[in-house]
Amino acid sequence: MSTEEIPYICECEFCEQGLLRFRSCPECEAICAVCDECELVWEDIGEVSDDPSVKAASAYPRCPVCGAKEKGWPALEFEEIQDAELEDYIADESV
Amino acid sequence: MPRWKHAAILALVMYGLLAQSAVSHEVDDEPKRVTATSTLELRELVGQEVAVYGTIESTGKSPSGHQFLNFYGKQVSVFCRQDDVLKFKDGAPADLYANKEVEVTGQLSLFNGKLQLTLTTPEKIRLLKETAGHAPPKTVELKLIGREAWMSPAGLRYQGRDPEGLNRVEHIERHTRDIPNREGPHGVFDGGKEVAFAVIDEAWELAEKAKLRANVEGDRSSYLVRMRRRVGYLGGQTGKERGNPPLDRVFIVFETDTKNIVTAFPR
Repeated sequence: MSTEEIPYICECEFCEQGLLRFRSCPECEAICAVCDECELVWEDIGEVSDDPSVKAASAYPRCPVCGAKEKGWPALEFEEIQDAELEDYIADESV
Repeated sequence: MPRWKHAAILALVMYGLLAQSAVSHEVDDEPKRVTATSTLELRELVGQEVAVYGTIESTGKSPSGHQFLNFYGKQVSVFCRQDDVLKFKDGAPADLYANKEVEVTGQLSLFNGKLQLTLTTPEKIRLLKETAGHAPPKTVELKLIGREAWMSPAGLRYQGRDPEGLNRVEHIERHTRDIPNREGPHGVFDGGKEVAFAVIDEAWELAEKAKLRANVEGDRSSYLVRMRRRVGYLGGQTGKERGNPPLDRVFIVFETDTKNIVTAFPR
């Protein structure tokens, strides 16, 4: 599945080009919102979904939850987002 | 009803139908207008008459008298046969339209896998705007300075990988072609990879010279630099909806207080 087909949360207000996708830290498995262009990371998906102008918590690859700088955060597909009960935060326009 | 009246009504109905068909035929025949940088869209139009617009970056003349005009980015060329060249009384197309912004209408085909438009008469090409003096930006070559780490002539470093696993050079290369199915906007540089890195260098130097204040958000900072000329166009689904408008600013994201580039694209 290409990145373009992976669900996203909203457009990034910082770079105005990237899309915030659900990604999990490979160290602590925390699910965060990560911009696929500027790579800013938001810990609270609900908060950034409601207000995309809220400041980011960190930048990839630093996890805002555990502080690790592990690279290669996998993007969550729809079923995984559902399993994490985060599907309400998928943008209406998202595939 | 007398036979002559019946025939007259029938003739009027037929005339009306024919006229309507002629009008709709005329509307249907209007060639689609597409920018020369929308190569994916153009490839879908091969075999049709299309109006392609953009800047002519270079021109050429073959020994047999055929002439060529290459649109900026060298993804689309215009071919004018020797006998059609003779129809241009004001001068040869290769001389008349070099470095100019034009719209060419013609049959679109593939020649050696490359998009080619056939120019048959002077009426099929029109000048949109003179762009002489705005030569295409120079190209740069990145220097490999380590394992998957490159440096540009302006000292910008491209190292590391994005969350998808693309290195920084590959990531920026995504912005040298359109991704029409991408949700939202997608800034696309004109001119390919080497030109894109030259434009980013130029934008960075302009930002430093103008002492532009970076927009800082933790570990990420950005510059939005106005280039005062077209550097690319808006692609993605948003770009397609808006007719792929030209863009004249470069947005650079870098790691705060460094010259490590995260991404850059026209905006």
